[in-house]
Amino acid sequence: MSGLDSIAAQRRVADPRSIREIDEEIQEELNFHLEMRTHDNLRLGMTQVEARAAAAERFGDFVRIRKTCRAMLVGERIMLQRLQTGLIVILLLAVVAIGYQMFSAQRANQVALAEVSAQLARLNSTPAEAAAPSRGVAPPAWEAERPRVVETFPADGATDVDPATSEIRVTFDKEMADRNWSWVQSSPASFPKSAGDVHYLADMKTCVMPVELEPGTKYVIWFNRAQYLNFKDPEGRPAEPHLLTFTTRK
Amino acid sequence: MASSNDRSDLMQGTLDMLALRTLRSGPLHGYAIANKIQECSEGFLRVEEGSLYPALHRMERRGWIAAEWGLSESRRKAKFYELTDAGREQLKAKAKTWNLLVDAIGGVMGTRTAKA
Repeated sequence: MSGLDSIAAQRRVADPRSIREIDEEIQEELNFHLEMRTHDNLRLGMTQVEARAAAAERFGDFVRIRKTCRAMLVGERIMLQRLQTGLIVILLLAVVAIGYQMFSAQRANQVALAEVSAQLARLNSTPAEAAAPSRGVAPPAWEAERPRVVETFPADGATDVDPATSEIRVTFDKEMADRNWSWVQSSPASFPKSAGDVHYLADMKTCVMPVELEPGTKYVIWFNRAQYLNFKDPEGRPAEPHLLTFTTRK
Repeated sequence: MASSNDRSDLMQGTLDMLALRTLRSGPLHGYAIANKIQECSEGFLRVEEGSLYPALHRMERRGWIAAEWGLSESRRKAKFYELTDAGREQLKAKAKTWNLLVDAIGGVMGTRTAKA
């Protein structure tokens, strides 16, 4: 028993026995006591039944004492286990809550992104789509009656335009509202330098822009585009967007 | 020997001290501790034997005694308890308190033994 002191110290730090092993040890220790007392009672001349009954009576409430011993040895550990289980449950609930919150936020972001994407798609859509009041909505009744470009000068796609050309003209298929136009640039470099006031000719179908062109330059001009839709007929119907590109010779 | 009517239930709190004192002579299992307490008190102190075990386990947890399984005199497996250094200190403290208590009660009852 010389090592008992150190055993006691170790057990105070961490008892390596399982709860089941401790239960079994308690049971075995108490049983040993009862059997020893029964044995001594038999030696005093009692019958087996009397000896057992007397031992039990002298011992006290076996179940209560066993429970008290158990609480003494493993009560703290059981409490810690319950605490640990409780903390794990709380942790799991927190993880689930955070996960749900992240999922909800992600879904909200996806919805927002989808809306932004739709907006971008609308902005970058073809002229016909861009001119439509809204995507996915049936075209208005005036769609068929809106003005359309029938001719440009220089001609669309021309690659040998005289750089001395002093004006650009666009002609629509119907009369247009005076002093309303949208000459829209794609980029500043590809837009001709203005050399005078834009105006309609007397037929009110042809709009003229005085310009100074540079040799060997590709020009890109939109007539109406995206939100710039001021080429319109007297009834306010915007002209169908039209793209003009041409290149001056060197 | 005291009659059955004169036997006293162990006073609350003294069981630890008696068990520690019993273990001063060497390692014993619970049954032997209970028997020894009764023998030394000539049968006057009646211990509900089962109540000894929670006290032993409590003291084991506190480090006052250490336990180890071994073989009893009847060659049966039994749990033996031994006094530790902390237990010896505890026994000294409890004995001192007990003596003061007995002396104080003796003073009230007029039975105090004259000190040298």
